[in-house]
Amino acid sequence: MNPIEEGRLLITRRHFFSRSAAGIGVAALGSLLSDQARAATHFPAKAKRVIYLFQHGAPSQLDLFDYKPDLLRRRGEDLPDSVRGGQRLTGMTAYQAKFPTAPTVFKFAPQGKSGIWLSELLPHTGKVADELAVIKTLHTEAINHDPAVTFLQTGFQLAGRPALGAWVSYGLGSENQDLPAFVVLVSQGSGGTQALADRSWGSGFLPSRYQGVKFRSGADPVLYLSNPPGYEGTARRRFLDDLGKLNQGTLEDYQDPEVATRIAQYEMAFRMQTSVPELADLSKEPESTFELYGPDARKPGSYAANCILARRLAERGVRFIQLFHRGWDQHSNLPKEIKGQCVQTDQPSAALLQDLKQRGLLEDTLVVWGGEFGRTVYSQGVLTEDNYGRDHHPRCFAVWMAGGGIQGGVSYGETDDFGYSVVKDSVDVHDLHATILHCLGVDHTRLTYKFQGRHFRLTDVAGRVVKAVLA
Amino acid sequence: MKYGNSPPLVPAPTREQQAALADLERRIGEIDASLRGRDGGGSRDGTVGWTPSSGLVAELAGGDFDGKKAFDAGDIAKFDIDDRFTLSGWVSGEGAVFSKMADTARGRGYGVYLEGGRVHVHLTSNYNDDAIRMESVEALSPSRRYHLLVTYTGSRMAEGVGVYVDGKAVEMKVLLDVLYRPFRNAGRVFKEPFRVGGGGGPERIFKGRIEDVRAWDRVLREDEIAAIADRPEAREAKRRWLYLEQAAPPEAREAWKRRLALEREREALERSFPTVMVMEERPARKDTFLLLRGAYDKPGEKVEPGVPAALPPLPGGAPKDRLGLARWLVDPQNPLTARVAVNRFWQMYFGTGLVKTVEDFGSQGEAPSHPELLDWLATEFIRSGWDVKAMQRLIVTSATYRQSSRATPELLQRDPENRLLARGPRVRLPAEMVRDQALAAAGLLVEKQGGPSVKPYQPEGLWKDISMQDMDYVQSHGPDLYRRSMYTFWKRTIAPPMMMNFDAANREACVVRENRTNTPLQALNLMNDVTFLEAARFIGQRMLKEAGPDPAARLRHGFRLVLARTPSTAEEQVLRDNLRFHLDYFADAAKAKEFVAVGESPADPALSARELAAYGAVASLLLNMDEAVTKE
Repeated sequence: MNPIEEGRLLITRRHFFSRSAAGIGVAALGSLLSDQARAATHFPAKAKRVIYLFQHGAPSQLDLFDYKPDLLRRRGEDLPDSVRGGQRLTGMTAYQAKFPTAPTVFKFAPQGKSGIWLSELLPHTGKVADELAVIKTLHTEAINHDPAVTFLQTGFQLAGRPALGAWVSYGLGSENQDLPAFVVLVSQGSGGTQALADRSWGSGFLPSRYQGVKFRSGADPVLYLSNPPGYEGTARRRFLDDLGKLNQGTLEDYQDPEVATRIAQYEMAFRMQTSVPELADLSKEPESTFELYGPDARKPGSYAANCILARRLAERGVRFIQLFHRGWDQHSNLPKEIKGQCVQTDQPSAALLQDLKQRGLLEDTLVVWGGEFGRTVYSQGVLTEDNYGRDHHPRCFAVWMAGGGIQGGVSYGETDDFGYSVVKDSVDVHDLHATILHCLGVDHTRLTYKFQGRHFRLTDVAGRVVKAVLA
Repeated sequence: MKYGNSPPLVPAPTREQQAALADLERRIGEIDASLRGRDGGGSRDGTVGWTPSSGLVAELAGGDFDGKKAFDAGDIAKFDIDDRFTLSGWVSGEGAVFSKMADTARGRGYGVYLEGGRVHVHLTSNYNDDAIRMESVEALSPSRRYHLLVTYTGSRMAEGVGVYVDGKAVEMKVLLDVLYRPFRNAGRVFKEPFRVGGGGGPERIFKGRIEDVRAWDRVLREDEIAAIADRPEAREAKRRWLYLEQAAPPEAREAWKRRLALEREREALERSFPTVMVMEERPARKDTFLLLRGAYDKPGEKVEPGVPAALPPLPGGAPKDRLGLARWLVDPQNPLTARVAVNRFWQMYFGTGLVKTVEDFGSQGEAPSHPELLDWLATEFIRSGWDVKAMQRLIVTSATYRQSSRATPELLQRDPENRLLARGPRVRLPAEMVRDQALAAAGLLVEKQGGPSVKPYQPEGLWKDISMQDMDYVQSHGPDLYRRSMYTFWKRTIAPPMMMNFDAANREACVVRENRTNTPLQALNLMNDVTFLEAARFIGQRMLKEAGPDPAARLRHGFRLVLARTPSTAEEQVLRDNLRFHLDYFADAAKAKEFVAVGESPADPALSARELAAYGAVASLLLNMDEAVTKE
């Protein structure tokens, strides 16, 4: 590299640091244009990246993770007032005349060496139980989907804050020059569906380069990726060469480092035109991959296919990969609908852990599975022999974590006999966020961004690392 | 699903609509003048059999009801929560008078009841939390016959419901006032029949007599209501209307008929006005308390509205409400508003405000780089009578703004952010301007002002991917594809992707300082979005049609359209080479044909597809230049 070029690059880098460091309060953690990850973390990171398998709509903890055998005896009994303690309910059941206790119709059994209890709906997850730390006492402030998802994704119920993945990409930057640091994949479930919003992967007040990029199935995995009809890669290459010449002239004229950045970004765009389709193309995956992830794996856009994509993204060093699987909102017909959801998600989720492990990636990839709140122990609507529904329940729900930084085979927290309230080791959403950041080597109290007169944190003024689930 | 704006609302007619309304008012006024004094003369005693026919959609004789069987009038009076309507009848007895409602106690639909002598009105989408429910304060004595009439303005608020007994409005007690979802919610058909003497459950079937049931698809005026109820003071008017309808000379009858039709037209026009949600002061202010440590259930000291002590007080006599706040904001004694405003103008032109933290002039904000300048601009702004345009002129004609944006390495070293303004600004355009500028250079921009939002190009399926009920983006066509970006329809949960790529605020939270990032997604967006490809093709077309046959002149013209200057020799060389490459590339007719077909505005068939494609590709190159998206 000649000295002039080098000097220019230096300007660029200094410029970038000055831009990204402005007003952060603490030093920016990462470099954005770095060739490799050079993230200086607060303390040694156990995980380099995160795959968050978000189960959108709120899966029932009582039918999957939180085993309450004693409830069978209370089947159909009205939920005692002492349990509910007059707490608010949603408008969907607040006016119900009765709140019949609805024990799960599914069988539970201890799994693996650790003996974590899991529902028969999760046979594949059961096989990887010793990798999991199941937290049964997560709770949230919100009672409806939109604010609850917003809270879980951004640490605040109202819109406007950066998503968890945006904070991570802001703090740690990218490990890959050819792909965004934060990638989102959405799949449709078979059950009750709620709307998603872009803000779940938005950058809030952080610069938009930190926002999640939603990969779609189909011809354009990233918006505007494909060249227009009649315009091939060769022409695009020539176009970019000439554009580079023109922009180079502007750079020499104005000495504005933004121009150098733009030249680099056009080159990255060109690389993405190759790297993204290559990444999204599963056709070269061996047969064994599809067997591992199950029957949906060949269906583009399915949860299973997205899990394979998640692994491919992880392999390529994408920092934060978030799946959204919809369809967990079982207000009625829960036994039938949740079964459908589990058939779609159980095997691929477990396969992802196995796949990461066999490739040596699980040790530095944190995997999180969970929804935005739990579901009520009482039935929404009529309880029958084999059917019931469950309303929204913010007071406790279950998530699991696995991989980088996490101790496997742990079951954390206890709820009361009805699975209604937390009785031991409560974990709130900020605690979950603090724990995720901790695994990445980031002190959640020191990852801040100054906006409108104050320093914001993902964890606001709360957050406590859940040490018991850490390796 | 919630439809439309939530009340309270004010209408916000477009210019065209305002003009149409004025025209209707004028025509109605002319007819009124021509009919003045025409009432048939004379005076007759006794009642006159007349009811308004304009907007009448149902007319039923009624009869006796035994509490067991209601009358099912079929699928008429199909009103939903956003429709205007009037229902009327003569009643004596108890139970459901008329309804179009599921036949259960808490059913969906509308209904009017007499219960315990009280008039009840229900508009129910969901009984518990999505309904209007009200009852009359006074009970009617059960032994008499009454005229009962209910009007509804489609406002989705209890305030929009009027209840009249014997032609007089009665006081109503509002039990629930939160109506959002229509009866036909989420595309469901609302199938209930119009029932007289029933609806809302079998126990509500009327006992007594109901006669002369009528429904109109409009809100009757009070004088009409008094006339239907046969109030003595309305007889004069009633006679006149009857005369104009039936007995007047033909030309007067015609004029009257026209007038009624124009009134309907005016009503329909007013209903089509866009609305704006507004706030309203409560009649009595609620007590407000300091919440201890922010806990909603730990009220501390009681507080009153006021302004921060560090700032000037509210002007004398200003009420302590939003009006008072508004007066305070623009009080000449208050320097803050003008400073904040001019600082934002400054930011718009220079990329950075004189106070960098444009959103924060408080103790956490940054001090101004040029305090005297800020103050002078602020006082100028006030002095000019808050003339926003004059301020723009003042700034853009200043020597500071007109400096060259070129920087030397030394200057860059000493003042990388240009806070000292020793050079002109150099900042990337905001998202809206990136698009508007491309359309303008292409000659495609439609400069029409106002009107409803439009839906320009957007990649397919974006809404459907993540919304509920498969709601999808229905793209506009024709001129609506090329309106200024401020008119682009904005769905907050799924914002227009081009706007988001270029850092537009997502409108979910208040943002006054947008970031300006520089990303590969922006590059892809400018290169491959149909918006910019179509604009490029039209710039190419302008090069071919407006600059003569010489390729060099054509290239210079295109360069000028996009960058407002002529190219340097080196730049011209690059463009010539690039054009040559593209002419060769598009010698393949199939490719050229495909490339010029991008976008909905067709290519000029008189032009060669090969040339148009090649010049369009060069124009795309120009639109992608750093300089094209940067203000300098």
